[in-house]
Amino acid sequence: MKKIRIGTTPIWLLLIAGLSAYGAFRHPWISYRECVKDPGLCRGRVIESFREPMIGTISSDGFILLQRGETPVFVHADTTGLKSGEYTGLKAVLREDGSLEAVRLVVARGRREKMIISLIPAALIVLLFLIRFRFDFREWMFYRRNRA
Amino acid sequence: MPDLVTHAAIGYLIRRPVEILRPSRDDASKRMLFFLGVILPDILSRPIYILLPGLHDWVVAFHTPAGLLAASGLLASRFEKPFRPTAFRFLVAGGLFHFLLDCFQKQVTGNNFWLFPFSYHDFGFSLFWAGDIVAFAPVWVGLAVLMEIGLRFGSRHRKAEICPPDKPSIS
Repeated sequence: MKKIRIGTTPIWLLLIAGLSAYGAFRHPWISYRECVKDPGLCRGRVIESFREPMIGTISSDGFILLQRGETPVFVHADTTGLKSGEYTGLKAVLREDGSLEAVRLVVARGRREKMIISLIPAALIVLLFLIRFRFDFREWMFYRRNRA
Repeated sequence: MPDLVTHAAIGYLIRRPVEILRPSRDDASKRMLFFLGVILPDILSRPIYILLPGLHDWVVAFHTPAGLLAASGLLASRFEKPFRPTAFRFLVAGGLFHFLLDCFQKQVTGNNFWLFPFSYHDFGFSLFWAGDIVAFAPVWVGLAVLMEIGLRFGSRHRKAEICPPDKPSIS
């Protein structure tokens, strides 16, 4: 029976885990979630990280910001050119009343289309890769199919 | 990031002429690894934080050269031993090409952390918004198809010149 040869795999896995944890715990930006959890931490700081922010209902002085897994929040901003249902790139400051004041706001035009059309080459490349290479589940190893 | 159609098609426009000018053994396998490298930074990070936004900060590393090196190393370590250095090289080459295209894009927040984990400096040139170039995706695909047709026609023409068909014998 063939054995799984571990080789350098654990080293790469450890490296990936380390980089991932470093990114999670040591980053210069502050997220909306961190701000809401501890408003003292982000007093006056610009929030740069939102959870897939999307424009909800638009009013004259701002709009409702929708995020995945977060309660909607009002953002004070210039609403010229905004469209409900669009994704947005946002930098904002948390106000004392819990609403946000936009510092920089850009509508991420075509983001939904970009995500959808990106699925095609991703699926195609993975499929062609699996046609070119065979994965041996006993050894956990890729082999070229055309290998003599 | 530009969309993956743009990434893959421009990658194709760059990679195929290299194969024609400098053919080597097993070009098709190398090409597949290059293309996998081209989409690797995005497929390791985007789906995770789009579906689970709470994990955004955990996957930032995957969209950096350091993360690419580690992910390519991990993938390459699961290839047959003699092919590992080649797999690693082509995965990394594809990934670096991905970062090169990404750095031309405008971002509200940073995305080109080339020196991560040592620095979060953003190396973007901010030339266009991602949404501005989605419409051009069919153009890149069209150019790739045209180039493939041209390359195949040219290679058939060259083969015919090198090995002309036998003249019919006169009896």
